[in-house]
Amino acid sequence: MNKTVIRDIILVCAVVIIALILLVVFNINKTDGAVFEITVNGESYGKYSLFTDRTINVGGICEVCVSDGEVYMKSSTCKGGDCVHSKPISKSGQTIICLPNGVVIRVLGESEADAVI
Amino acid sequence: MKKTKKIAVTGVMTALAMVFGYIEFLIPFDVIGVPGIKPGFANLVIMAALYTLGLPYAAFISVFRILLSFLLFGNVTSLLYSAAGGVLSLAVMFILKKTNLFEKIGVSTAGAVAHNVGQLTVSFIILSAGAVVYYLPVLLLSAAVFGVVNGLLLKLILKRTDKIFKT
Amino acid sequence: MILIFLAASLLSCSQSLSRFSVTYTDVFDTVTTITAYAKSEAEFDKAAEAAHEELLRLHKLYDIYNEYDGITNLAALNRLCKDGPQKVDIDIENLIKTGLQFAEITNGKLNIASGAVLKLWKNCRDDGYGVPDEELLSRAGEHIDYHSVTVENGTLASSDGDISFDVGSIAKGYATERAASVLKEHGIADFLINSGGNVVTSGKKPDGDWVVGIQDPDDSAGIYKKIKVPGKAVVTSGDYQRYYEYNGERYSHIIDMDTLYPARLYRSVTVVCDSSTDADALSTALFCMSMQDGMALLKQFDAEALWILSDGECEMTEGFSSYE
Repeated sequence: MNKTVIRDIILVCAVVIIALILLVVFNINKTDGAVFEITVNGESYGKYSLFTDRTINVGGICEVCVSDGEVYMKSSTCKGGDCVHSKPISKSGQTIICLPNGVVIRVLGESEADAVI
Repeated sequence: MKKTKKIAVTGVMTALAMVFGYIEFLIPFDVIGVPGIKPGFANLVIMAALYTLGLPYAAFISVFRILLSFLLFGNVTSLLYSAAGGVLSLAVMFILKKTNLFEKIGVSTAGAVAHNVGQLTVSFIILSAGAVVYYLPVLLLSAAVFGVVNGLLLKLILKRTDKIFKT
Repeated sequence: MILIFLAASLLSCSQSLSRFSVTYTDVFDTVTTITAYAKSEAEFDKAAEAAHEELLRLHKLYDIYNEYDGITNLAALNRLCKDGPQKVDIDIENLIKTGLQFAEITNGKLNIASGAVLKLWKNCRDDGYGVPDEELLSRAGEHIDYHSVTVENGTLASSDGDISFDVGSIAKGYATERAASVLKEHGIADFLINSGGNVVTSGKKPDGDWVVGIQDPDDSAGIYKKIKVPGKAVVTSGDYQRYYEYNGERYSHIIDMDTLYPARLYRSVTVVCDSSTDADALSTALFCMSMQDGMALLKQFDAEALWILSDGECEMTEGFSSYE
């Protein structure tokens, strides 16, 4: 095997290993979230509880649905529909993103409180 | 290759890249419910151009495909994403190829990674969401897989079409 | 490589308890959320529903606006008291006894017999308009003497025929405590119950203690301070919970029984204490008294408190900082 092929293999392996390391690092801190936030193009649209079932219409662009402690994108005006096909999320840090519409659904981390009084 | 031939091939490749791009858009590649995992076959054409026609022509095909796609199908945001991914990917592939340290599979993978990183960066800026970084593992893995696939396909295709690109 | 991936996903599934949560809006005219860690959804549902049943039972018992068939609740007692001594349920007796004790210690700042005055303010609050007529208010003020009330051995009596009970300042605390007991009886050890600002916690989360956020008085989505209160009850009384604005002024729901007007000393008072009932009573009482008096009162209950002042600054008892 010549050196270039070896380097190719090293490159691909390096990418995969970095990906796996990141995967482990990101998942170690997974905690159940309690609150999620919807942002549109960076601006906060609202914060909601993961535990109150409801459907939120985000300015006519898309529908965000909360059910059984999970949140998912029910419908969206975007062409691709990647966001609608994403699985429901519930852990802090998880997100569902609708790129074309600039909508981000993000479950907030454990830095948020379990109750606000 | 004679210049006129190069120009003709460029035209064909641009059309091909556009078609591949559109097909990818039509077929939902929703693996594990995570968006953004695309095979990048349009990238395959760009790479082929890079290896047979040279950087200027490859660059032209890439830019033109992005612009035409935008005019025909897209919106400004998709233009930004394609542009970021396309430019970064081509730049990285060109540099890597020039060093002669890697072969087609390596170059292809690097290009795929660069493409995804470029798009991720744009989404980070537009959405002001640090959370997009959580997509990195998946994007990297997908880039690795399809980088290898495209690299192999490129080798195969160039072997078969070797005679066409000779003069 | 697949092994590494599997290991990663296994790490995140190491908990055998899962988090569940349910919200009820049919008790005490507020939102009640029960969050707990249980082995299964079935286990959680059963326990939560039992706690909910208890909350509903007490809600009906302490309701002063509606009467229910088959039970003699406070609404009925308010109507019947002038006819003489009445037989009462043990939970009413307990609550009123506790209420009277607090009335004594706080010199009437906390007064469960102040229904006559509170009713006038509630009417204005419901309308979102106006203030009670001075005449009516002072006349109502003559019928809030808790000394006229006696409750013993299942019998409630008052020498004032126009007395009216309102246990809003202490009922939720008592009920939340009862709900917590029910959860424990059903095998749930790690939970947090939040009933309209009355929080009772037990155990902890897999990744640490329960975190309670004290609301920023001016931002319903903002948190002023986060505290961890393992095994304790936390209650906040604030001017942003139930209020109305009239002529540019805010009238909150906590009335100072000395002035017969809404207390305006602080934006909010948060009390941390072992007993949820005590925390509820104390937070209401402290909201209407000077910090000096408040601190003296807290010592009697081994409780800690945080006051948020109108300028946004806060004061807290020495021990409160241990919860931060």
